[in-house]
Amino acid sequence: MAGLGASETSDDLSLVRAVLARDTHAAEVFLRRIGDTVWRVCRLLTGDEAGAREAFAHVLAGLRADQFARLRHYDGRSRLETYITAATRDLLAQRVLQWLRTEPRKGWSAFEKLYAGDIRRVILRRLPGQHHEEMRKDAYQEICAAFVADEYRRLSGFNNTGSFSGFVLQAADRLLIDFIRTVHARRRMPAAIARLSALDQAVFRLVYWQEKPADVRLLAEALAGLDPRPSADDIAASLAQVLAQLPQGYESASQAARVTSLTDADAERPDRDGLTPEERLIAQDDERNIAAAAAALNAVAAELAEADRLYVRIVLGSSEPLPAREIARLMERPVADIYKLKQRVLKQLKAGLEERDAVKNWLASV
Amino acid sequence: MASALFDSLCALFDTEDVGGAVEHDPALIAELSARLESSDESAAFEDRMATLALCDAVEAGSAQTPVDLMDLEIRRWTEGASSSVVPFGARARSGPLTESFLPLAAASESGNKAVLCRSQSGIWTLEVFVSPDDANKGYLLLSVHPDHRATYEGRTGRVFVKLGEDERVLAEEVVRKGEIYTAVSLAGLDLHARDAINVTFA
Repeated sequence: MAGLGASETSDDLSLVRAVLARDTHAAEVFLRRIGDTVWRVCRLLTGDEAGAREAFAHVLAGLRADQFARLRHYDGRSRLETYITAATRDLLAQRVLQWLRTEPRKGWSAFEKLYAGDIRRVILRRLPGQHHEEMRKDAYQEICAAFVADEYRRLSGFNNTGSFSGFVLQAADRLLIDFIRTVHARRRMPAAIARLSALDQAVFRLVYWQEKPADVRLLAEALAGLDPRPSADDIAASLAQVLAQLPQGYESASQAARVTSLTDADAERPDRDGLTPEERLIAQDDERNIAAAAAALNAVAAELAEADRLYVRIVLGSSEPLPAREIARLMERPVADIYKLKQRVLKQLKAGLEERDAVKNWLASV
Repeated sequence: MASALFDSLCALFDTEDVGGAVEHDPALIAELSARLESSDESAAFEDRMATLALCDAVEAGSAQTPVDLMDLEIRRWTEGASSSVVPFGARARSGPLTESFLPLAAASESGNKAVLCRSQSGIWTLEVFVSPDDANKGYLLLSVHPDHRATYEGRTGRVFVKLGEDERVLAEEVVRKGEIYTAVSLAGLDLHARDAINVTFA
């Protein structure tokens, strides 16, 4: 028998309504239905059995509180398990927030257990691949350091608008963006390298930014997608050329990484010290170009329908192309919809961007 | 950099055509993201992504609630409830039990071939199978949740549909091993969209 989705949620809603009506039998059925879901969330987000037991009691007390106030929001549009999973996490998050304000050390310990997985997922999304492994570790440390700074000011200052988890993960993503931008500022291509051929620059990026070994065979594999495909001799020559042109004392990405928090309004922009006048001009030009293009893209995106904006957000939230199936899962839509959505968004973005002077100027300058 | 940004942007949307050779610079995407996202939407987005990830992890898990914890919570949830609600056990002892199955919320995708749904109380499951060679004939299977089998075992279930002021009895059978299974006539019924099935147990 198939097609039970609507039936299941309809039954779920009936069950919740019976609980709200104080039907003791329904309450027992409800508890048996959601118990394992709540328990698994507690186990995942507290780390140990004792913590999970305490959390379990806390969550069920939260669901029961104020005449089951939390259950009143359930409208049957989602599965009961999904709703309860989100409610459980939110109740644990509220407890963490309370502890951060009253018992900061205990709060931080619980915070890390609650959000470590989510923060690492956010980081992996923007810094995918094995070659970013070290950078991901650094990013996690930096995000945690920023949260801990000033007696957990960023976290305890949450103004109770919206979900605390959304607030935390958005803050983590902003801190991560800062981190990446800071490293990127340090990774700006030296002017001497920027004057070399496309192959030389590709070799430079692989060796000095992605820190791949300067091995011709490995580099040839990484550069196999270039057209025309470079030979081993070409790559060896590029390696020599890059080495000859590299400014004295130039450091690879991980050696040069230094973090400056940019999420505060008065924070500094990435450090430009040490750039030559030519490099500084290139940097300023880059900044103008990206600002113009982003402003235009921003204006176009604001005119998109909600689903289209969500699609853009998902695509831009990841540093690698996502399979349509994954986007469909995140958007809770059929895969076929995603292809249509993509075509529509691209068409709108293209039309919108082409109409804007900023982009015309930008494209003309390329 | 400008062309790299443009290429990256175009390639990002190329979900199915991108080969392994294309590599995006996280810094470019970070630059764009930093300038594009509005805070309310991005917080809601992150919350949604985290919920989905957590749901996946929960579904993949197999841990079960410790029995003592569950028993304790059931006591907490059922003690002190309104006295106007008759406890389930008392209902079973004191009078006829009733169950109702709303129409169709649960119709299967296979059209008229089968209907499956749970009763409003959540403890009974109803399945109606349509005979393959006669759409007016079918088989009805009612099964109770194992936790409640003892309450209903041996009771007689009267299965009926209300048609205006009248009741049309589809079956009257004794519950055996937590089930009632019987042939029924489906002529004139619309279990998908109109006729709710009710059951009383005596």
